[in-house]
Amino acid sequence: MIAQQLLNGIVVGGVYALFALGFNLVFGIQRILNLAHGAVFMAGAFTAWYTVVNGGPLWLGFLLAMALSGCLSVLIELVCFRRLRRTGDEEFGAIISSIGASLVIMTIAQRISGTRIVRFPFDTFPIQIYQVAGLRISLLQLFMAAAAFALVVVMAWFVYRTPWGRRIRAVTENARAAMLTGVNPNAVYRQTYFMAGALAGAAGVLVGLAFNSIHYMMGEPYLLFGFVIIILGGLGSIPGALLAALLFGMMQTLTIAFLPTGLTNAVIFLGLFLILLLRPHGLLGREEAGQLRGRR
Amino acid sequence: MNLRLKLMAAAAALAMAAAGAPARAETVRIAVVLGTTGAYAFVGVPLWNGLRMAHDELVAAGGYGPHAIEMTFEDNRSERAEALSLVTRFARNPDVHMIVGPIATSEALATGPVANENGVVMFTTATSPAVLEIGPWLFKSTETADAYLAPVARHITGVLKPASCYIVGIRDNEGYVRQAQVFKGLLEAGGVAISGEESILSTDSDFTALSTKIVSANPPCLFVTAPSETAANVIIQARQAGLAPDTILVGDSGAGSQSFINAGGRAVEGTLFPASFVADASPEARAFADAYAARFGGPPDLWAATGHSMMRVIAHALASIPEGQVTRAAIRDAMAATRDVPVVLGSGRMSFDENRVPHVGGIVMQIRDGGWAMP
Repeated sequence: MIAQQLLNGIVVGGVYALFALGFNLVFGIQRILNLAHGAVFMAGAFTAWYTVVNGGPLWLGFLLAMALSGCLSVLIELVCFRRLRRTGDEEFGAIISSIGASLVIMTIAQRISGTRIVRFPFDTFPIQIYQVAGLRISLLQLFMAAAAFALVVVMAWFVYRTPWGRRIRAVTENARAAMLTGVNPNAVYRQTYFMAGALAGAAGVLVGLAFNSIHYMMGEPYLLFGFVIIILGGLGSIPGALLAALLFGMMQTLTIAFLPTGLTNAVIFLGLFLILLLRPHGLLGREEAGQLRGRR
Repeated sequence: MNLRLKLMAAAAALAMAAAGAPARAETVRIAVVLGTTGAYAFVGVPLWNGLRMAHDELVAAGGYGPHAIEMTFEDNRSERAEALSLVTRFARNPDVHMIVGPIATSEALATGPVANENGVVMFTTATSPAVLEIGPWLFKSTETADAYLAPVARHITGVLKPASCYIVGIRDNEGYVRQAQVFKGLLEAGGVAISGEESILSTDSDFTALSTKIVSANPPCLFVTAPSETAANVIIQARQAGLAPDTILVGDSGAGSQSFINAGGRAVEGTLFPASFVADASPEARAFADAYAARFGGPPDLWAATGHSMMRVIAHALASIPEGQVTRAAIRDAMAATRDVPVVLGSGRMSFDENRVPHVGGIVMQIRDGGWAMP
């Protein structure tokens, strides 16, 4: 059963990675924690759900969720962070501002959904179980793993292999220097927030499909997970976040499977604490990355 | 006007006010605190529908005797802290004569002491008998787990006879913890082994690892005791993980709610559950079901019938109190004297025993073709 649970952990970790990568991308480029990221994730799940229950196909719901979540994320950047950025002291202000944005989005979702927990219809995704080398893997798990992998690869390609990605990395290193070379930091921020939001929206749909529970507060625990993952992986490190997400997913699944259920979170967070004792800057983090004011 | 006339006028005004006082006191104010949103909305919404429907029928039929009734409703959003705040507010208001709700055992255990200390009847749907141990002002409408789970346990051990059963329950609500323990004991007493026992939180939604454990154990029977949508979610994810199609699925009374069927869809087909309401059990139950469907656009579930029955019990108690003598203590005594009150639940009669434990009689039901049927 260990191999089966590891497989479960990798699939769940892949979804965590989608969420955490967007969270980390924003932190990496602006050194701010966007605490409305969980609300964006929730909005994505609701968008796909509304599409499906109104007769639309799941693929359309998935795309709409990514598009809407991306736009919502850009809106948060424009409304909550841009003005603060001009003051040059946005780190703590952004935390408060994003909490406010999160509350507004969640309240709207609560009103619209009537505080109900909704779910995709049972047959939205076909239940097909495959036996591979003694392991059971469902079609939904394959889809989740494939979608997470494809989106992470696309994001990595975008960041590391395209002119847009070069601009993002240039702004990450030094926004003023990038501006002197003709890069418009605001445009880069918009692209980054859209990408982060789209990834969160995709993660929301996958979580809604896998765990059958879409509600206005569903983003809150993922925000905590995302925070843990980016700390564990190393603040601002995309490969670190990916590694940490997979590790976190596996640790979570294995502790649920083999330990008394009440101890799960205590054991997970004890493990994370021990890892951080040995590597204070995270698995793949750099010393300066953890310093919020370190790069300007 | 001289001083004497002023004093006479004041005395007359006081006398008129005093004469009017009993008339105002005859309006019995009932505060209803239920979660019609959040985790327990699957109980709260139909329960409130049933209460309102019975209230309207009773008003039309003069079922409250000489008393006028005023109901105030508040949604505690299935949050224990909000329930505590609302019950405290109503319990401390001397104009409120009794409180109906809250729903869950966890909520009732938190709010019960407040009602008891303030000397106001609290009539809850909590399942745990521990609620009644808080004090004499506490009443509940649901039978204890030992009583209502016994028929479904007998059906499994005596008719279906699986070799073993896997149990999944909620650990952050004492009522569900007790249901899991009671059902486990009943199965073991009937010769069915327990192949696994797991607990989850009522807010959990990722049951991936749990589903793998369940499927790996390949249990012939799976009992899930949790709020209806969470229970349906556990079953869905177990199905998605490869739970055998012929696994005997068993739920608690929450499986008799429409939200369980809505949430679970085809995944929960065949689920057995303990029920205290069957629409065709009696002409009264059938009439209630038809009237409910006409008014609310769908068939009543157990909780709608429970709400209707609770209001009947309240009305029976109030009607037994003479005009002008309605006090909190009089309501408590009248509620405690509830015997064979006609209701739409179970055998058609509800009684409280000397420990205020309700008795209505229960049966086994099954989800079939998206509805409820006898197995």
